[in-house]
Amino acid sequence: MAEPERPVAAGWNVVPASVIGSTHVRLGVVNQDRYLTHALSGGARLFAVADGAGSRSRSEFGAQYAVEAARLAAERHYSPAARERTVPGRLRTAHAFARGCLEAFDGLLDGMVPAMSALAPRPRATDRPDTRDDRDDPRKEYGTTLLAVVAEPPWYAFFGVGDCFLVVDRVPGGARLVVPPPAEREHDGATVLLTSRDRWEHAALGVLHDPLVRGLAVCTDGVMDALLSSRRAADGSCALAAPEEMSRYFDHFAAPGHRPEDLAERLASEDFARTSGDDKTMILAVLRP
Amino acid sequence: MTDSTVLRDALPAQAPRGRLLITLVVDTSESMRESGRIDELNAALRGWREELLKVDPVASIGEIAMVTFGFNHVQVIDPSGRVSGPPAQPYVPVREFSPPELRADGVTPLVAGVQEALRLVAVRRRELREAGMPMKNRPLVYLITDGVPTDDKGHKSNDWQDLAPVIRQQESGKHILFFAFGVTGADEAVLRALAPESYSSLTDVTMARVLSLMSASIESAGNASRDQPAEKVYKDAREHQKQADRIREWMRRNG
Repeated sequence: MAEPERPVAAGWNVVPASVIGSTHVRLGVVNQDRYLTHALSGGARLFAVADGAGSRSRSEFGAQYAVEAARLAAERHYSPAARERTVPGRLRTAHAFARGCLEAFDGLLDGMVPAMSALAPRPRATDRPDTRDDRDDPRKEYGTTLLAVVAEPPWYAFFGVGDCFLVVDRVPGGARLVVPPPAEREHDGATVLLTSRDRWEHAALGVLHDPLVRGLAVCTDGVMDALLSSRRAADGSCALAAPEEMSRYFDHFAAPGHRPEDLAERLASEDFARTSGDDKTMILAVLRP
Repeated sequence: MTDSTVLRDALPAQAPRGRLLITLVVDTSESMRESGRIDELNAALRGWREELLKVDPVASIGEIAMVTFGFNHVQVIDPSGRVSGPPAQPYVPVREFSPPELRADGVTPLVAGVQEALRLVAVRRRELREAGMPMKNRPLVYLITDGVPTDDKGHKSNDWQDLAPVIRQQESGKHILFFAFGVTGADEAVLRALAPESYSSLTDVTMARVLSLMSASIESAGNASRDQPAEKVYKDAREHQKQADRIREWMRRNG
């Protein structure tokens, strides 16, 4: 059967929002989430979110470096000259982009805090030691997650470390959780960070080719409970999923005359605060027809 | 500004799914009766729910269980007060917390009480995992005692020495956070061994005050980052308690 084709999109309605969590307000801590949206020279768009680890003293800087690292890597690997048109080619690019994100992040840390280099060896992009975090490595204070998506419809490449998540909305088809937060994260009690030694082993990396996608939601874990639901699979296990009603977010911001501020107002609402005291960040992007 | 009802419908939020487990391990031995502490505790517990409900997001995601040691040896109490015997589900939402009148008598099987609490936590964790319910943070276990651990005959027992490493192991595995509150009569050496970074020795302090300190601790520890080491959470909880004390003192002086 022929794949349905979406008319060429005129661009994106991009609505980013980031609000400080009620817990951080109470504790006098700043918002440790960061996001970045960036139009790449070849027409692709980068959407990146990062969640600085609450337990790390300089994590908001780590989160900023993470999204900047994603921008540097995307500019390098998604230039018009480097555009691939096959699935294997796209996968190669995504892989290079992921490694580029890690190298740029390490480089930014080294550059911003030169003293660090002398104190401890940094983890390599593919390190697989048996400890998650080096206790004596000062870089751990910059601990952060990252999820970066390069959108070049109908191609979407993603790279994530940690518990951020990606939902795509398809027409027809509705909302789908494409990059879920790691399973069992709440019961494990630990999150893999860009500063973790086993970051590569636990990274989410992939390419999606889907002409039916009309929008993306790139989110930090602070909005996870408010947006996602739990579904029981046939084998009895439970997994997170994007509920049907999540498509309303894309409907709302696809409509002409929408107020971008609505997203931040909603993330700051009591309904969201009841689900989590954490910072809440979301980039919602809808393709304009 | 978009009308909030319209916005709520346009951008819907799911009901809170995460859970925060709070387990109280309460001394109901004879000394609690003799000192009149049990009556004081009962009175304080009656008003504690309202205080807990002010702690966000504990009000919406908190579940509480209660274990007593002393009267009838070790008992799991229904924290909602609806069931008189052992409840089928020991954990109830915080908003339903309305414990029955506690009675005090007998020896002090503190270790068995804590062990029972750890068992309840493990069972509930498994239930939540199977139901696809996330844990918002590590389960919080609170011990309140005025005495010395004893064996079944009331003789001082050293079995707490075997319990301490079990608690340390659970802490380092990020399975629980353990706090101990000792009121007048409690053995400080035992508390220090069980909760070296998180024990409070509270002499001449009312039980209402103990519960108030516990609320402050729950607020701080319940909102801590999941990947924080236990020692850091305990340190922050102590700071939070001090801060709450300063605010309370200021309020008292300034009406």
